[in-house]
Amino acid sequence: MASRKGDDVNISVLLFAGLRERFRRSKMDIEVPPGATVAEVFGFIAHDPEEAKQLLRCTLCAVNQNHVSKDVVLSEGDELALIPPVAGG
Amino acid sequence: MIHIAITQEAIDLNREISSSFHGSCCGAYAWFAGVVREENEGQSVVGIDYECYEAMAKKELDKIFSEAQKEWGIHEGRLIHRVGYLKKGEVSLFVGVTSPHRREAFSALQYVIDELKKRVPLWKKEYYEAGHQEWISCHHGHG
Repeated sequence: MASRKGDDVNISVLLFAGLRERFRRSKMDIEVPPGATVAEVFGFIAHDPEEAKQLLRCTLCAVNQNHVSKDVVLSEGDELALIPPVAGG
Repeated sequence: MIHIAITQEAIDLNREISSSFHGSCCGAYAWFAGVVREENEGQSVVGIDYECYEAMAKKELDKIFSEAQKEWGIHEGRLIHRVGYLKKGEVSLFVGVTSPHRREAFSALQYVIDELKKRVPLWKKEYYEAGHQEWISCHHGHG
């Protein structure tokens, strides 16, 4: 459902591996201001600014399962995945 | 045809090797199996817990195989990655590709595995004999 102009934007944040353990959950449903970027989400979910900076530095991001840069603006209903360093195989 | 699966079930290597590919159009069939190693950086490993963002992992693996098809003209591709807790010695990954000639098959196989480790959202937590555990990370492949 599209948000009205000026309304907050509802997004889901997915957490994996070490981040899931750090925040003790695998998903957060949060509201961000209209025009908020991926980078700004770190400020909303981190416990303090230092943690936000550290997470921003070492985490990749995907919106709706596609890698994105952190200056991408979020839209209503977006699924933002925070991806700590990977190591499959 | 490309087949990609993420599974909690044990990977039956004999079945994968013998039944994955069909037809005689290809002269080369290269495959790789990843196994949980009993040692990492001097520590005795008893098992690894694999975690995956499955929807995105499948999408990314699709892209990787498409790139390999474009570059080396592979005919068929198959990848099975296991998730959940695996004991040492268990198979975590099977990748196979076919192509008319061996060089293309080897190159494509190497590419798929290398890109998987860089781009696909899969994580592993090692459990050590000493009792502790640790998330293992490679470097991110993206800025």
